[in-house]
Amino acid sequence: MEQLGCTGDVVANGLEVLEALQRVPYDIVLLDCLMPEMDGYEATVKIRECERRRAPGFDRKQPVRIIAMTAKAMQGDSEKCLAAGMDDYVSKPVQIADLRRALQQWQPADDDASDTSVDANESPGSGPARVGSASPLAVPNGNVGDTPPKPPVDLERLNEVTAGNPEKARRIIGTYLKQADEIIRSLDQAIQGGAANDVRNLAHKLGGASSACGMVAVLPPLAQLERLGEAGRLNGATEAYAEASQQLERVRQFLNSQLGNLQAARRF
Amino acid sequence: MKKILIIEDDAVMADIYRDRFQSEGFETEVARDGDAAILKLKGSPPDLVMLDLMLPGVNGVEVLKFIRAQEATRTLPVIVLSNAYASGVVQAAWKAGANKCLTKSACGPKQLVGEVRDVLASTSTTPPGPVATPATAAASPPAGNAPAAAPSSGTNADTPATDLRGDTTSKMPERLAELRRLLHNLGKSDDTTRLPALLELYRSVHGLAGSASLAGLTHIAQISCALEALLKELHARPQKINPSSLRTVAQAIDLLTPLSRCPDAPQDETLRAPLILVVDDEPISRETTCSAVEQAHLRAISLDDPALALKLLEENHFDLIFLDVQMPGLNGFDVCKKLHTTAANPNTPVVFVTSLNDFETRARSTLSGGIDFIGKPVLLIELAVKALTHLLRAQCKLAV
Repeated sequence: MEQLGCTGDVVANGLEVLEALQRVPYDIVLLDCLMPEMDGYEATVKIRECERRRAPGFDRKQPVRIIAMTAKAMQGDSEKCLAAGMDDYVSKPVQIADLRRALQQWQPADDDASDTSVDANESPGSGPARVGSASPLAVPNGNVGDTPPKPPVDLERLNEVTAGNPEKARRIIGTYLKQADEIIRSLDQAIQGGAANDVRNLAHKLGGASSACGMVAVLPPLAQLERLGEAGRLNGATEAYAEASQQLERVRQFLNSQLGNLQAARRF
Repeated sequence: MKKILIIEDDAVMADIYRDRFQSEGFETEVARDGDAAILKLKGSPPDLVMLDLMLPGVNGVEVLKFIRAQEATRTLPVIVLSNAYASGVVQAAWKAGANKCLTKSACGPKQLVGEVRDVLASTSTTPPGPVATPATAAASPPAGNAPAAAPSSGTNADTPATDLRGDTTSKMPERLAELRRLLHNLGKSDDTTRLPALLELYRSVHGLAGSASLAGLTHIAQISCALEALLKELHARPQKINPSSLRTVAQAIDLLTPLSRCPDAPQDETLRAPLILVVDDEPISRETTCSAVEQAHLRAISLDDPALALKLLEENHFDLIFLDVQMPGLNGFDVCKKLHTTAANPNTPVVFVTSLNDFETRARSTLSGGIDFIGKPVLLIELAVKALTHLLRAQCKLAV
């Protein structure tokens, strides 16, 4: 949500949603349908009832917008959400594009008292929307986002390849970084020497290794280098190379910070 | 009478479970989806829940979390069913507080009843309350109860399984026709209809995986369980739907028809430890392919040097080979041509691991027998399905 320019609070269940709404004039509530204590449907019915009664905290001009997060991308669910009084729904795992669409559609109108906007870039004058969210909050997957600040490593993929085994993870990370350093050095030489075909092959090789184990941040500059090499024109290769080695450093730092966690998670 | 809540969306499977448990003296209730299950749990909680993690359209782990978050059902015993190709889901289920995780294909109706008695016996002696937190129950599977509970299902316990086998076999042509129809729909689908079409196919494969597992149709159970896990992944992450994964799905479904006609597969025998060779000069991709093979419970030997691989292949038979295309010296196509001239591996199926960008052109241009492609970066469960498809096809001596 922060990627989309919203600020949000997270609560644990339907009851807490009601309490939070009494305290804070949220614009939008992201509601998980399957929640303990009070599920999303029930919570929605309660919220709408409070709004009808104009209960304390529920007496704003506009009813709060409720977007369901449902684990099931099934037909029928949408009707169920809407029947309960929700405005919209997104399927879990939540894709950032879906969330963006839903948030943009339901962002508060300009004349609203809590004048806010979901995408700060599109309406520069307004502050961020306040979004309440009931957990378990689905975190947008790192490799589907299209906004810059996403983690440089797809840990889910890395975890899948290493079958959740931290020893194996450490070994693969070690192998990857060693090989990546060598290839990056060779790439530099190949670019300096104008060897387009070598640039293509080296970038292809490192790209393959990186995507195999989830080192996603280096992929775009490597893909560019591969294209340039393929075309036999190395204009712009130096910039792409600089970007690739910078992203590799980001990956390295991220992995170093994660290695501690891997150690802690030894029980797997 | 102990009440069991069975969460299962396939009507045939739900019937099998219900009949079996009722004949063993249990009361049963069936919920066809997660919401129905939650309603039933809120109404009058059962004594035990049986939850299939591979249910289409239901996030089993979320249902489990819901059960653990409610005061009334916090310590309710939950047995989850999974399949051998969904290790990630099983990990998540342990964490969320499952009391027992069972693998569908390894667990016939008789064992299932035994496991249910086991879990009920061990949880009823534990005082209710925070002592029996799901985490501890999950970490230490109850010991000592198994021998006592196992014989209780009676001496004629195999008769229903045999009936089930006959029954499942007789319904097979219908199931397969349905699968082919749904596959056809998926092939014709566009961006808006793809996910619903995929879900329908997944639902049908889920039913097949369950009933073939229970009926002991080992080979069909194996491939359909792997396919079920692949379809679950594709449905959850539609960005992984691509020409390679769709082709793998289609191949697995195509194999089911010959498999079902294949003279009876040895009943209690899964694939006889086949041997797979992985050749890739790039270590990370090689490890990834090997990891996928291992997660399919198969054995692989891996080599980084294509020339060395050829030497090995001259003397030793392998059942399946995964070959990288771009390698220094000999490329994958050269290796393939040469290995098929060896005495040890004239017909060994070869799967080229190729970047997704090249996948379609390559897959189209090379449709000769025994040669196949899989897209890179490799989707691990797709590779498992691919490997099983080739191995089972060969095992059935079906040159397709």
